[in-house]
Amino acid sequence: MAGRLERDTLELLTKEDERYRLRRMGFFRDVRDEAALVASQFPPEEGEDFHQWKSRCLREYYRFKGFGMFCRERLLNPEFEGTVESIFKRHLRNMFETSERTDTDKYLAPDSDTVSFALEPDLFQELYTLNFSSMPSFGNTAELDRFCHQITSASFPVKEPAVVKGMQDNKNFYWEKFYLKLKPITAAFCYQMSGISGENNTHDIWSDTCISVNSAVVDRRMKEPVTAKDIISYSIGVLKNKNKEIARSRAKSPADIDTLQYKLTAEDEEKYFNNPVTKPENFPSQEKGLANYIDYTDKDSVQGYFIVILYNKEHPLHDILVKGYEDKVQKMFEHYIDGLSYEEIVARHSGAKEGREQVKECARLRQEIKRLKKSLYDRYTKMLEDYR
Amino acid sequence: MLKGHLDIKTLSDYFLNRLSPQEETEVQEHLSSCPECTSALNAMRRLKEGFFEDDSAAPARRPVLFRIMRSGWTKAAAAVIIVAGLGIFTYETVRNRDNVIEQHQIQQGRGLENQVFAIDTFDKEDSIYYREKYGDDFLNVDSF
Repeated sequence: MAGRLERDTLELLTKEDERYRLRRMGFFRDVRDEAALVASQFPPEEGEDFHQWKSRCLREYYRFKGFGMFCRERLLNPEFEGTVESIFKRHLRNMFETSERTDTDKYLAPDSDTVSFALEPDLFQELYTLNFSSMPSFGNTAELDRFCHQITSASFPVKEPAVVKGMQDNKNFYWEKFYLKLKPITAAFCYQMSGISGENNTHDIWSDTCISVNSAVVDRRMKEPVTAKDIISYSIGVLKNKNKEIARSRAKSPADIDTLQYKLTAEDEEKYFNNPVTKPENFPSQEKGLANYIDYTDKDSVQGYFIVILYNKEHPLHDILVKGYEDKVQKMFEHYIDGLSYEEIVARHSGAKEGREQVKECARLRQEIKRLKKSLYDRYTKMLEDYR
Repeated sequence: MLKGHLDIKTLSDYFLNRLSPQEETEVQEHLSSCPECTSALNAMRRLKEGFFEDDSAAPARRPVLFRIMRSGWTKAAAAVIIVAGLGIFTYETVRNRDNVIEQHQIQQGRGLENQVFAIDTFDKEDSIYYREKYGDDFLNVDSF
């Protein structure tokens, strides 16, 4: 029973650490020591169910450790700020997933992404300074979490004029998302109007369009007040003109150009706007593309999702990730997950070896795993861009 | 409490902190009595630790130039060059000092010789010319 209690407290605190980065903030050093402390000091009381015990023991643990004072002393600590930012982002993702798509997102964000519920760096600094400069008292992480939830609920979605202003101020955060939005639209228009397909062929048109739209917005050449719809309409106009130029240069008689249809067919829309890889039926979380699932600006999120794809053989991207490396991945799992030493793995796969031969094989395996890690992560990085 | 084993999606969402506090507690309650799911979760954690923390524990590999600059051999070579340089400098300084004294002495001597040489090379016509111009004192070189 005592063993089970320690396992439970270890799991609670491990999750608290993963969620609130407690070790990184310096709240504790060793999660096992803390788990032993919680198990000995705050065991379940009679008649208390798991939920009640979890809530009480964490509350008392944080009070015992002085979490409120700990936070107050870390107002200017980048790690604490990073934790608050990650809590904000988690709440924003929930808000995004449970809210109706805003018009701003419809016109300015890629299909799986958002600008209305996105934490632009300057906006975060503004919110952090405003709400945390007179650090409120938090008894525990749940209270900190609730406080962040209140702030995000009151401040988001970001109003359309604020996003447009950000674009006029040339904030990369918004422009990067908008450029991604334009990519499939460019592909569709090029195919429809000029018969050009393939990323290599449409890339120049896309980048030219991005530059044109950016300069029009940033140089304030669009008629005020500029709305999200104005920006996307201007972009479509640029795309149409570019495609007309291409068509004109090819057409035998200029009159043919005006008969071109600008409206996408259902078939093209399916082909260019819905990537089947990002819509696997057996993995609903994947429905809206990786950007919906991964916070690209957060290292923990990116690394965590890599592990989910690598470990989960049912994940639709697993086969793409490990293709050609299956045997090596198996050996790596044996080393990292099963805890086998290189000698044991060599013995398991190539039979017992001794002396120099064994040392050589182990060194080779170590190098193999090291190279494999790099290859897999490089492949994952490319996938992040492809399925964003 | 959740029935059966956790599906991989729920487990992944738990691992990625994507569950609500309520769902998270339900998963934790399940993990408390399910060694299989706990084992799967810990496998992901161990994999993450092994995959990423190996690298973070080891110092990041520096650029080649940086490694050359900081290598022990480079430091040793630099020390040898500095010591050798100091030795040569000291030797040259001592040698030059002797030379300087010698040169000084030569210069001093050369001044006299030149004066003598200048007088010696006066021919008769010169003597008459200078005598007429400056009087008998013309041989006193200090007056020039």
